[in-house]
Amino acid sequence: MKVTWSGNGGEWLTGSEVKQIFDASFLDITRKLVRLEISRMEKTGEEQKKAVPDQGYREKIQTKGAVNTTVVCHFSEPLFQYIINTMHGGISPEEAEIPLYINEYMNIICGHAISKINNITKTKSRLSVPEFYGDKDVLEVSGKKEKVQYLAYESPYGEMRVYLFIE
Amino acid sequence: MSATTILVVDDSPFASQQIKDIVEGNGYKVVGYAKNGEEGIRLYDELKPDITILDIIMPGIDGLETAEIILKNDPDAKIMMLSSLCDAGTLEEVKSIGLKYLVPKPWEDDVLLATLEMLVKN
Repeated sequence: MKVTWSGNGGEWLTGSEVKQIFDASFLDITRKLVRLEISRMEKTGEEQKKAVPDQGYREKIQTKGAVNTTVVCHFSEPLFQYIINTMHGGISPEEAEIPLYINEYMNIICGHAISKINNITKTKSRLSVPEFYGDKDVLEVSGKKEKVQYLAYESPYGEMRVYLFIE
Repeated sequence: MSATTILVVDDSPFASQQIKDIVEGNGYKVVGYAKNGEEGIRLYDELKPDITILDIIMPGIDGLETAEIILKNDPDAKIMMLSSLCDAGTLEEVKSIGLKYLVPKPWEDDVLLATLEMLVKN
């Protein structure tokens, strides 16, 4: 089995195990934060190679330190609206505040995941401040595409796709 | 007896509103909000709150650095750190600057309130 990240006296994790940790975090935190059950959509290997969509609502957050990865999440519009409206007490936040709500959603999910990874591997990684990309904003990713891990979710409000670029 | 005053330093309006809803229903008074560390330091000096709740991941200087500056200016400052990062390493960092409390996001209301109570008593 290919080892992706080494620990410092802790356990070793493969890219697949890292993906499982992020998966658990997306499922658990989405349930707690916005009271929504999302479920995994299994995609074929070919579909997993698809690039991040260059349009639509996207978020990018990076982990830095022992583990360097870029996490990009793409939301369908109804799901995006559901998340930010729920976090804003059921109504739409002002335009200027929209990124702050989706940033917090991603910050909590990825912080939860990276904390678990840090504890298992006994390494130290930190999170960047999340970045929101609107409909046609250009989003660039520096991670190696051959190491991308892919997660896709569906819900009654739409879909969400997550790309983990491991450096 | 006047309510214990709280300054919230968090770039997330979601977190700030949630904290206000919880604490003001339990005898505390939020006297100020700051969206980043620099604003937090300025408001701390201006308001002198009984307790400061500080997020770690913020634009500009992060919560840990903000806490260090506040503590340098006021060694008696009572600070509770809040973060989605709650691993052993982060807790060590929090302890290394002389703080005791790190509450994970998303928090359980009773944990947040119990931590505030401990800060008030200590």
